[in-house]
Formats: sequence, C-alpha cells, structure tokens
Amino acid sequence: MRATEPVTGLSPAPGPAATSSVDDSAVAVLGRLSAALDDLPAQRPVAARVIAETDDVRSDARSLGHTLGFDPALTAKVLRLANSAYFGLSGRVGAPSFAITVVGFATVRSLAVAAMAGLEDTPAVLESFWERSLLTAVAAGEIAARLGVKAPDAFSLGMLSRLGQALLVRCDPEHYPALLAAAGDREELLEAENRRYGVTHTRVSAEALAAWSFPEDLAHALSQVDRAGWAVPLAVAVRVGLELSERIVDPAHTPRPVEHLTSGHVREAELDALRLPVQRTAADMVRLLTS
Amino acid sequence: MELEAWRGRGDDLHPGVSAALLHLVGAGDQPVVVVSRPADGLPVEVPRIRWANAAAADLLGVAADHLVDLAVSRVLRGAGAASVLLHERSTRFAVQALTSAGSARSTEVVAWPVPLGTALSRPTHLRSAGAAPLGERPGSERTALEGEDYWVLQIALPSDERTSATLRAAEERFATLAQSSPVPTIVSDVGARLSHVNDAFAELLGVPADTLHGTGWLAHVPEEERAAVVQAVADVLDGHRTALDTRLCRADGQLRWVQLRLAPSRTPGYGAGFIATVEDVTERLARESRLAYQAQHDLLTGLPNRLALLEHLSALSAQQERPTRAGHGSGPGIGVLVVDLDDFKTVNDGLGPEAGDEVLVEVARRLSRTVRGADLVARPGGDEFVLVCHDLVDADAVAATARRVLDAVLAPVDVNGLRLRLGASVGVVLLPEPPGPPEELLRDAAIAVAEAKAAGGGRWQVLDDAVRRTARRTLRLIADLREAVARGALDVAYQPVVQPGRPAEVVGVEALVRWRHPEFGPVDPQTFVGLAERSNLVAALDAHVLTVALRDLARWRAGVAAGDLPHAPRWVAVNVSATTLSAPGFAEGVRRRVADAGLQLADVCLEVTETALATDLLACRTVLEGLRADGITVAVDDFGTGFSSLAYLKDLPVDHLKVDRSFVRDLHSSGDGPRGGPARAVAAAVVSLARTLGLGVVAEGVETLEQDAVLVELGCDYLQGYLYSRPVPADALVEVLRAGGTLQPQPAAPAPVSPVGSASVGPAPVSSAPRPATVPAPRQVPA
Repeated sequence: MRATEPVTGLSPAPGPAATSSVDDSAVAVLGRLSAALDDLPAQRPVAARVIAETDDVRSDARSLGHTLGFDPALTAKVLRLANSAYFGLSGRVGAPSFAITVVGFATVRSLAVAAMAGLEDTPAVLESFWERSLLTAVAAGEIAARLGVKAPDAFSLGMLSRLGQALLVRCDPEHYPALLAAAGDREELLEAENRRYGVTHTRVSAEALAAWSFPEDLAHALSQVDRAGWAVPLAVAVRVGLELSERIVDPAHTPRPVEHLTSGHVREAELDALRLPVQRTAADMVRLLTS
Repeated sequence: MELEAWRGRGDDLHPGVSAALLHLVGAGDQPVVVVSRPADGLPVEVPRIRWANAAAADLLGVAADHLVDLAVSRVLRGAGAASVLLHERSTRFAVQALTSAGSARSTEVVAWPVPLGTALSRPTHLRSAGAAPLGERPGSERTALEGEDYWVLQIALPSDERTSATLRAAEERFATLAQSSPVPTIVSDVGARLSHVNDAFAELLGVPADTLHGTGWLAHVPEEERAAVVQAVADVLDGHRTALDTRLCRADGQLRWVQLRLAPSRTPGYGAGFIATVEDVTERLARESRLAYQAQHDLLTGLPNRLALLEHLSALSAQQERPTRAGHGSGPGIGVLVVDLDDFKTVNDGLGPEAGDEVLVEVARRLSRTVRGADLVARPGGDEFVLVCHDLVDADAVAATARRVLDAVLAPVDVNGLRLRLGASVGVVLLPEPPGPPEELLRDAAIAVAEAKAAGGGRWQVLDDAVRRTARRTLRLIADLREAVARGALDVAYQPVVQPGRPAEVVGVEALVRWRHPEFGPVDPQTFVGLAERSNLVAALDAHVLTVALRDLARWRAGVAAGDLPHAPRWVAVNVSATTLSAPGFAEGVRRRVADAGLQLADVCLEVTETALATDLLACRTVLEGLRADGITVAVDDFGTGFSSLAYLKDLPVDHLKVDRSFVRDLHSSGDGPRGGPARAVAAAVVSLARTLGLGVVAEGVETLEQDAVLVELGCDYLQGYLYSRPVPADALVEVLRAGGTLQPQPAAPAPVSPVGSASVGPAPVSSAPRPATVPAPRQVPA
C-alpha cells in the first residue's frame, strides 16, 4: 500500500509552523543540497549505475557484479559485508557476483548510495556515524519480520537513515556542526533541523534516495520515519532501529516506549532481547566497512 | 535520469517521428493524459487536461474531446495538488479516478514533467487522438507552450492492479501453504538469513519461530555440520538446487538427522534467496541403519555375515591394487583363515539346535578375542567362521595365528551343564598379488580347510601351490568323471573268487569299477570313487557297473550253453554303497536289470559294508530282505572294520561275511609263529562266529600260500586275492574261463594270472594297500 502523499522535494513547506522560521541562508543550503543531489551521481558514476541496475528486473548478480567491478572500493565493501556474520556465510564469499547474491540487491544499492553520498569519508563531526547507522540497519532488519516487511529493505533503509546528516554537513559546513553539538539527543537535533531548514535530516535522506532513483516506496517510507502519526510498517521498522541504536550509543537518550513507536506490535522485552546480538553484529560490520 | 531522456532530444526531432510517437501513445493501452498549468506560479491556477488518449477516455468514461480543458482534479482526484507535480523529476502518487458514471477507483499516477523548451506539439492541437491528423506540423504552434508547464500523466492500468492483486493472492496462498505444511520449511530472502520459517520447522527445533529468523537458525546447526550447511546455502544462492543430510540440535539438546533440500528463489530487485524443506529423517535413518546392520551381520553371533565379508575382502583387494607400497617386495601379509568346527553336527544333533547356537556364540566370542583391531571375524554361515588377519608376514606369523585360533576353539565349552571339547580345521590363504576376486579367495580357503579335515581335523593347512594344484586337478577330475559316467566310459574289472583247492575253481567274480582318464591314464579307484561320492555320482556309477556285470555274466552263461566256454562263474558280486541302498527304487532297479539281462536274482551278490548297514539298519533290512527272499545273496564287506555290535549281527539279512584284508595281511606278517599269532585268533573268531550264525565266509586279500593255508585250515568257504588273480578285464577273465575256470596259486607273481590282464587294469597296488576305514573301497552297486 502506498500513501497518497508523495515525497515532495526539498521545498521547506511541510507545515505552516516551520515555514516562517527558515531564514535565507537555510534556503541557500537547501539549494546547495538540491544541486548536490544532482551533482553527486556524476562524481560516482559507477555507484549511480549500480543503483539504477538494482532496480532493473533484467539485472542479475552477474551483470550487477560486472558493473560493480568498475568501482573497486565499493566492490571491497560489498565483499566484506557479505563475509560478515550477519549474512551467516562468514569467510566463504570470494566472487563479487556471489557477494551480491549473498547480501542482496537492496544492500548493494544502499552501499552504492552511501558511496555516492561520500559516506566513505565521514566528516569528523558526525561522531560514531557508521556505528549508529549499522546498529539502526541491523536492528531494523531483525525486527522486520515481526512487522511484516522485508528485512533487506529495512536493513538498507536503516543504514541510510542518517545519510541526510552527511549531506547537511557538506552543504552547511558552518552551521550544521554547531547544530549537532548543541543538540542533547536525537530528538533535539531533529527539532533544531526543522527549525533551521524546515526539514529533518531523515527527510533529506529520503529526498536523496528519491533523487537517486531508489525505489519510490523505500524513499517514501523513509520520509515517514520522523513524521508524527501513522507510518508504513517499513518506516516503523526503521523507527525501531533508530530507537535501539540511540539507546545503545547515546547515554543521554531518553528511551521512547517501543510500543508507542510500533503501535503495540513490538514489546520492550523483544527489543531488550535484540540488544546484544544487534550490538555484536553491528560491531562486526563497522569493523569490516570502515577499516 | 529520466529527465535526460526527455531533454535535448526533441529539438531536432523529425516531424514524422513525433507523429509516430504520438500515434503510439494515442493508440496504446496505457491511459495517458497531458496536463499543464501556467508557469508563472500563480497558485490558484489548477493544472488542466490538454490532451488525453483513447485509453484514458475509456477509463474515465468521457470522450477525449470533452476531457480537454477540464481541471485534472475533476477526473483524477489528488493529481491537482501543487505538491505532486514537480519540475525537477518524475513523481508517483495515488489518485482516485472519477468516472462519468460517478464511481471512484483508487489507482496510481506517474507524472513526468516536460522540460521547458521541448519542441512538443501544442497539446490542444490533439483534440482527439484517434482522429487527429497526425502529420500536421507542430512547429507553428510552438508559442502556445510558452507560459505553461506541462506534465505527462501515466495512469496505472486496472489490469496492472489485477495482475499485482493476483500475484499478491498467489503469494499469500503460498505463504498459507508453507505455514500450515507439516514439512518444516524455511525461506531466505537474502543470503543465509531467513525471512520466514513455518510452524513445523519451529516445532522440529522446539523453539518459537521468530528466534529462527535472520541467522538465528544457524545456531541450531552443530559446529561440525556448519561448514557443510553454509556451503550448501552458498551453492543454492549461486543458483544450484542442493540437498544434504545434516543434523540439527533441538532446544532440548537432542540431535535430529535432517535432510535439507534447498531450491534457489530469485526476487527481481532483491537478488537471490532460497526455499528449503527440512525433513526429519532420524527415525528413517535409524530404521535403515538397523536394516543395513541386519543385512551385514549374522544375527546369532553379531559377527559380519558373508555379504559383509565379501565386501571387506573386495575393499582390501582394491586397496592392495593401488600401488601404495611401491618398492615393497612382499604384500602386506593379509591372510584369510577359514575355521570349520569338526563334528559340530554331532553337537547340534545330540544336544539340540539351541545348544549348537550356544556353542557358535561362544566360539564367535573367542575368535573375536584372538584378533587385533583391523582384523575381521565373520560368520558366513553354518559352523564356519572366517578371519581376515593382517601382518601375516611369514610362515611363523601364520602358524602363530592359526595356533591361536585352534587353541581358542579347543578350550572346553560348557553347554547345558556338559563340558564339550570341540575341534576345528583351519584353512589359510594368503592374499595373492594381484588379488583375485573374494569368492575365489574363499573357495581356496575352503579347499585348504578340506585338506585339513581330510588330514584328520584339529589342524591347520595353508593353501600352497601344491595343494592348489591338487585341488584344481580334483575339480577337473570331477568334471571328467561326470562326463565318463554319462557316456558309460568306465571299465569294469573282475576279481575271481575261488573255492580252495588245487587247482582252485572260480565260483564267483567281484565286479570292480576302473577308470582310464584320457589324459592322466588310469585313475586310482580310491580317488575317483571318493570324488563320485562327493559329487553325487555314486548311484550312476553303481548302476553302470551292475548293468555291465550282468551283461558280461549273461554272455559267459550263453558261452557255456553254446559250448564255447567250459565254465562260468556262479555269481557276480557288486558293491552297494549306503546311499545307493537307501535310494528310492533301488530294489526295483536291481530286479529290472537282472531281468533285462535274462538272469536270476540268485546270480547276484550284493556286497554291503558293515558301516553302510549300520547307518540305516531298518531301511537296509527292508530292502535287502525283499531281495533275499527272491534269491539274491548279501555279503557284509570289510567285516571287522566297522563298529557293528555282534548283538545285532544275527539280525542282519546277510548270507556271507567277507573277512577284511587287514586280518588276512596280519596272518602273513605275524612273527609269533609260522601260522600267525593273535591275528590268527581273530580270524579264527570271525570264521567261527560266521559259522555259528550260519553264514558263509569269504577271505579277501589273500596274497601268500601261508595265508591261504591258514584260511583253508580255519574253514573259509571262499578265497579272493592276488595269490589267485588280480582284478582283470572281462576278456582276460574269459581266457581263464576258457581254460577251464580254475586257477593255481601264484604267490610271487608281480602280474595277474592272466597273460593279458595287466594292460587295462588300474594302477599298481590298489588292492594290496590296507584301506582306511573312512575311504570306501572300490565297488559297484545296482541302482
């Protein structure tokens, strides 16, 4: 099922309250952001092609592997991830095309998007960016089945949910770090982002996905993550992932009852049970992807 | 990216191409409308339809002409919002399609912005896609584009919805099926991570289903199996259907054997996953392994059976054939020992089969203790055991092993409160190089056992080349003998039985079978009669001799009647084995042959050994009494060598006793006096016994005048032996008869009395050698 409201671009008008507070420099940031979304694919053309091919029904692991092969750094990431404990085949994956088979197209696409957004060199101000992103991804993937969504989708969206932060640092290098530093926890950060730009970084992430030809429903789901009210199950899975990752990484984070986040589908006890395995798996991936 | 496709292509587009594209869209199944709104951004202006194709008109139930200039939100609710139509890129959103009939239908729209400056025809020009003159040049209307932003709206077809609904339904059916299937089923959507497991799988492992999602299920694969399982998963993800037997650990710690069958499944846009069924085969395997055990083991002793033994030997042969020991002169010294219990039948018959089984179990246990780890003890059947032993590098090692085996069997066994002492014969064969078929090995070992048994049992025999040669020759002889019997190619020789006197009158003849092998020459009668007994040829042999002997006697009688011969024997004696005697139809056979030859039963004497009589006294008595009543005479052959008791001797239906040659020989060799010592007393006792019972006495093996004199003095009725004549061919006997039918004793004579006899008679001193009791004397019998 698809919600009637589409991803609407970066026009800072999701609500009347936000519109007024956006100043001129913020508008300029959004403009730069929009330009960046246009420019980045040209800078990583292989990644852009990989993204396009993952959505093409005619693609298979072999053809995708062939394309991927033109970007050795991205290939290495896919291979390392395929050999992580998460996919259960530790150490057995040698060929890129097989690695794609193992991690699935969705994850390959996410890695390509991450590469395109320049996440390989995460800005220093984004403290423990990959740790948080992978905790979110793993947790969202683990909870996916409970919510009736595909784990690979949840995993890849979880991984890219913070993508917008990197883009904001890139396009607003003066103010965004300050915004980050001032925010006590994720909630505060989202509020600050909304105040300054009229959008949250999650929303920016969603826009990037939409701009880069990610499947619409994934981008759409991501745009719902930090929006109040009902959300598609995939967005709920990412919410759970974000919540767990913040609980693990950020001691200042005030836990939000997971029952509220999931309309009662997931209970606190389940989240607690996930905590350790998620932490272990994510740590393994962080090591593989950032080394 | 889509924008790229639109941008910059239209400027120099040939009008024919635009017309063709327009025609395609106009005639296509996909509902398409083109909308525009003023570009100056006045928010109050709503997008209006500028063109619609026939499919869109059909969907909305309004003629294409009437759609033009309508606000798009009038027919596609939700498509008019400023937020859904973007300049930057295509958007996809849900709308309600409102038809003229008033119904609303949820569908989706993809909106493609038309880049500014694109040389498209002015949409108003295209009022009716079906009827518009397509070739019209659009360039002239170009200015109409200015000030308007255009979008092309593709409306999802209802049939697309149906297709996806059908797919969803199929998916749900599959999910329901898998969920309720009794076969444990798992579904991966990526890598080894499971997205779905059914209840049966969760039940198999005894845990809630959701703990098995992701890689959780791998925790139930035991460490030592994990590599194989992961490899199988890798294979299936690579597109190969795979199956493997492995184990899974239940929550309660119990290990279950399962068969994992994995089939690849590929979801476009997701990559590869798999669907697998996990069949619990623990019970089946247990049953199969039980059956396999039973197929390979002797159920009484638990030892490997014949099949397992043959497989073991085959494996050893295969191993040995591989040149692993290059440069090593001798083989690895593998020996096959066949252990055959001596007299086991006695135990079985005497104490019952249960006792026999107990003995076998005990022997099996002891034999198993005598061998080392890599060695094998098998029971191929009956009272036979086979050991396959390694490291029999030299004769000493073979001897030590064989000795150990014999000792193990010889130790007393307690059964039913009785202490039994068993014996065994052991045949040993060393694995030759190159190794032959296992069956041949076992046959060779059986030959060695037979040799050991023939040598008296309780010993072991290695099958060396000499033994093997003998055995091969034996097999050849049996085959040739069978053929000779079938062809009637056996000769009959006659040894005269005389009444004492000077000269001695020939009163009867004993018919003796002789065989001249076409290649080996004359074959020792002891040898081939033994072979005949082993190969069930005795009856045929006996029948042949009786027929020939009766024919010859009839001819001699005819010769006398015709005046050609002055004398003919009063009877012909033929030997009858116990087998022949107890065969059904024996008496009738004799009567028929006698009648066929035109003779009387009184012309025939049946010679039966004491042992044969003792074997089945009652049956023998019935048969023999019947024949005796009609005049046949019966002689007890080899009297004194058996163990028949004097008590029933008086009941035997016999007419003569034939004193065994061993008593006669001792009369000759005794040093206690000129006329024998204790031997004479024995002979005297036999003769006197016969007299008491009213039986006639025939002495066999008379070779010297001294023996002759003693026997005559003791009162023997008839004499038979080299002193008078060796067994001779029929024509040589005819010469004797022609000469009057009398013989003079010739003590030192190396050749038979007859001048022609030596040529066709068997090899040298057959009848002079004392015959062991176990080997039957040459004889012939009617059948």
